[in-house]
Amino acid sequence: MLKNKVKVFRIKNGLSQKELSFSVGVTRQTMSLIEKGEYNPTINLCLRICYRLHKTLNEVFWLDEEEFKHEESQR
Amino acid sequence: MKKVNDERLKGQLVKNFKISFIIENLFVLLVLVYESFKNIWKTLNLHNPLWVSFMIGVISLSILSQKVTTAIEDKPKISRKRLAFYFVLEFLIFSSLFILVIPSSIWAAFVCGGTVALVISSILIYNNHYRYYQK
Repeated sequence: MLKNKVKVFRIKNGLSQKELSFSVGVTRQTMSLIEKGEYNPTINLCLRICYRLHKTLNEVFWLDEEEFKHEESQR
Repeated sequence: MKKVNDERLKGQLVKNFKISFIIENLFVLLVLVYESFKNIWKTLNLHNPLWVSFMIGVISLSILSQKVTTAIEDKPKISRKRLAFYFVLEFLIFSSLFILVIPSSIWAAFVCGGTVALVISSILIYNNHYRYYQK
């Protein structure tokens, strides 16, 4: 699952969940699930969120390395 | 219903379509099995709209699935000669099967066999479109 710092940067930018979700074209529920790490957004949505928060993709989203290695070994 | 822009909800809608497709087809299958116990030839007939709709669903699903299966198989393209050979083979097999079913009209059996071979060959050509060239 994708890890993220959307909530931290959203609050730093003084945005509410509703404002951020409206500006990137999703519902507030989806934004809430992204922040909780319960929904993996597409790269398109990830980039739109990053542009809105004035951050790079690496700063906002990353993969848990251990989880990734575990998934890789199971393939 | 409002136009859905949210990517998560679009995915959810696709999942819903999939579930409703499964439920619908299970019900249709159940009715067809029940009816076929009473009269199998009346059920598996082109005049039965339930059977026709079920077959359309199955055929369209199998054609659309070609994209997925070819990606998983990852095999080289079938040559034109081999495709032509398959067509002739299918034509002969299905025509002889139809001759057994309708021995009174041999021409009709050949037309039916040719149609089935044409459909299968079309699927193979479509399948070939997504395969890679062998060096």
